[in-house]
Amino acid sequence: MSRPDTDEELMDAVRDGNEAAYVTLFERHRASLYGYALRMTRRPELADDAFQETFLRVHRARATWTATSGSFRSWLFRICTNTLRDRARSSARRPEVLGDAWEPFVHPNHTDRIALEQALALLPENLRDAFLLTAVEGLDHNEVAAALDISPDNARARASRARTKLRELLEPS
Amino acid sequence: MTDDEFDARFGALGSIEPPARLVDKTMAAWQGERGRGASRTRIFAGVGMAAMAALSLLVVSDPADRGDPALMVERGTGDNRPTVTIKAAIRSNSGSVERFATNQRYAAGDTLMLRVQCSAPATVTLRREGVVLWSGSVPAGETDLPVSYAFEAGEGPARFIVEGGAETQTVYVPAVMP
Repeated sequence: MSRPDTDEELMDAVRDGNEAAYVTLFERHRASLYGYALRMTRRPELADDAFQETFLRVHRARATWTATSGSFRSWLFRICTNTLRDRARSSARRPEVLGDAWEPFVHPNHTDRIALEQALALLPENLRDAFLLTAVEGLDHNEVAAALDISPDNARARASRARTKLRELLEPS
Repeated sequence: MTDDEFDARFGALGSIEPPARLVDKTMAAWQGERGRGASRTRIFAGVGMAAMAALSLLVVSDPADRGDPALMVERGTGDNRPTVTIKAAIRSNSGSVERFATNQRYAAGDTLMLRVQCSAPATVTLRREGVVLWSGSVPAGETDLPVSYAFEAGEGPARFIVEGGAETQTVYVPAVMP
């Protein structure tokens, strides 16, 4: 049985014009990227736009891809992060107002999941992205640093601060 | 609980599969771009190297790069979309409730309340100037939205929009923005 292609091998193939490789990468990472975009934006319509734009940018930028610059996943999430930042800059941000009677309808039978999702949503964006990439997506600090265009030390520090904040939210003394 | 154990709780949240329509639209948009790219290559092949400077300008300014609207993410369409209407009322500081009027000025602290009527069960989203105030499942018939909007001093006109769709949104993360 042949060894499955790595992401980097597939992206090399995409750069060389292999369209089937692009489809494989899309299938392999679509759920991961959508989850990241949705948790970062907390708005499905913005996540939809970022998701589509990210995968189109991956294809447009295929000629610039080089495996020596890091993993494909860190490159993918960097494109997504930049897309989200571009969108945030182009739209004024306003506070949400939620009523007292708010009832989340996310996985109503999974209260632990709701608590975790709500706690994540309360993190500042610059902590949430680092923590999501670390804890949910499983990137190491070097990959997180590449994805967010920050230093590895900064990536580690952000994830740590996010963890501290989440513990305060989830485990109040 | 160690950091690794703590992270593992969040890791168990896992990925979120994108809606099928988004997957289809994204692949269609990619295929559309591929088609335009191949077409452009064929046209430009006859231009020759002498025209490279003009070529760069042309590629950058090519309206096709803005994307085909038909291939963008599609929302709010479909044969089974419900009809959604909205009614608004104002609860004043004194507690009285009156019908909302667009030509009326309201005091800080007055509260906007909304009632929607859906022709079929729907996922309804309320926005103010594009920002989500509430989203949830609503049955057919009239429903008072479990959210109200209190006006603040100095607040100007704003547009509230209610969207309704038959498609269920699987995940929405509610929170006050930081």
